[in-house]
Amino acid sequence: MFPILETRDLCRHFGGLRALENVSMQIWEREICGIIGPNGAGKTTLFNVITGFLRATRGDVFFQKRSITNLPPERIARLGVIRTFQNIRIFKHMTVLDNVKVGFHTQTSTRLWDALAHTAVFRRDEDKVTEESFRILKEVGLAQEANNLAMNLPYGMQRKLEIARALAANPLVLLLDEPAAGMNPKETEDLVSFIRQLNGWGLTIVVIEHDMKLIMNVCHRIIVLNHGKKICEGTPKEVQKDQQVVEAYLGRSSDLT
Amino acid sequence: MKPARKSIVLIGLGAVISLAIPLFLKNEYLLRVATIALLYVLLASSLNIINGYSGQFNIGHAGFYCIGAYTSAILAKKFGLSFWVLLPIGGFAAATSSFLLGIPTLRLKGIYFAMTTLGFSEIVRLTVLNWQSLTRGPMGIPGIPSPELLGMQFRSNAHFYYLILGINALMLFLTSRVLGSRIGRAWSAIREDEAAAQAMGIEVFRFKLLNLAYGAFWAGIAGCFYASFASFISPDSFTLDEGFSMLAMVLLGGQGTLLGPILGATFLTILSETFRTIAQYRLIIYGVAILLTIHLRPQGIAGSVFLRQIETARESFQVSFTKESEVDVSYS
Repeated sequence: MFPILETRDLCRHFGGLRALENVSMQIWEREICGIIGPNGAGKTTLFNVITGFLRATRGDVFFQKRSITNLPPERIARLGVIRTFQNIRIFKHMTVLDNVKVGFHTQTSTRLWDALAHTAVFRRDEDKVTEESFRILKEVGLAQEANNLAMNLPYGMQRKLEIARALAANPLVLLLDEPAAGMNPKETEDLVSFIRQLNGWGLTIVVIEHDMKLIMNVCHRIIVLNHGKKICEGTPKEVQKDQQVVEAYLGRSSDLT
Repeated sequence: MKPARKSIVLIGLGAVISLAIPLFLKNEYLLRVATIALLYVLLASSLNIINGYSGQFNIGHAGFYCIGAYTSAILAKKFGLSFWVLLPIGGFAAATSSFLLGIPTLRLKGIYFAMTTLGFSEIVRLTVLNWQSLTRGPMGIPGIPSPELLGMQFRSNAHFYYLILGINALMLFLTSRVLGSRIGRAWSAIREDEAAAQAMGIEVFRFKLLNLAYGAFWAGIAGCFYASFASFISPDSFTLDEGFSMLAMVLLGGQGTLLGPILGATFLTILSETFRTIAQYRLIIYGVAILLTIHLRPQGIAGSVFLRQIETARESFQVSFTKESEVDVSYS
């Protein structure tokens, strides 16, 4: 068996700052993997390098055994590595339905001529996209908001919409960057069961999160970053006991005395 | 009323009024003003496709207009081509020139792209002004033939009025089709958030280029119409001021709506005709109009419809004001 997503000695430096330093990790098919670490550990940078939004200083990223290092973000998305953003980045002035429809971009092929003449290609694309979009909106419980502007949704629903849009893009690996940020406990609980449900459908999920309850609850495996380096990896139980992890979060006991 | 039904009523009403205008407006001068207003509707709408839908800030739209006008005028004079052949040629000439502008510059963002469009517009005008062997420079090109259809010459203002009305109708029909497709959604997504659009697999550069070319195409068509309508063109008609006027119409009417530029162009054309005696202050009037719009209705005249929708939508929700928690220092 080979990992669906892998990084090898991945480095990203910003001048003298080593945001990522020789990070090697494997994500296995159908797992839920958590990435945790204190603020500034390099978690989001890791996502940005994997998805092509930042160039790697050194090292490689492999997806299904194929190198995707430094490919443009749209190429990586097309392959099936889909991400969400830490600060919600939905299309605010578009309707909820159109937000999800944009997700189908890579699975449709309408060209200018098809749109102008409403050719068979256009009709097939639109029928498919509309139907599938509603299916996804129903799954995440946003069907009733379909024709409202995305900016008018409450915060928790906006997070859901961003995930819905990501699902529309036909992901093989879904990278969630702090999906529970700003959610209340009830919304977080819903999110946990939703992530499990997605995983149950066969989706591989990588999630960055600060909410330890969520992470320990939902993840099969956890990778811990600190100062750009991987300091620990294992099941939630193993990670919780790890001395280095405890120190990274709470400081060394000698610091306190 | 449902939004769909509302827009059908609106379109029907607009069609009836605009078709009936020549029947009531017997004054040739007023009919000419109405024709010019429709010409600007076409120009402002084509600019809105770029500025309002994909969010690229183009302030040199007059350049595309100029290329369309000169291409068709020169071809008409040299080869005697028919207006109906020249119409698409003028459009495609402008669209082709947009590739020359867009390929090196569309990777620039915001104000940097805006500056290059400004430069482009001036380069086009100066080229036309100085390439005397082809364009007769400052003397302009006189005697551009008017269109002919089934043996009938377009001569009166009413003829030209219906011609530009037809072109506008075609433009609105086709553009609404494009906007309602995957392409239009990609354009809007780019306007809203370029990074998120990329994350959804949209080839941002390609779609920006297509957007610029599509907008430029209709500006070229407008240029072709103008050449045969005025029967005389000179570089004076395609100055930066012309581009600024179109921009003012789009901003005033409301960016990113199909209705906005129609209202903006009509309103500003009538306004500047009313104050023709103080024409040298035209840009000041435009400036004041824009300032007032930005201050009182930042979303433009048509944007108010948009805003009302937002407000009703807001009422139907209990908006939870959850503040985005500040977490994780991302290095991006």
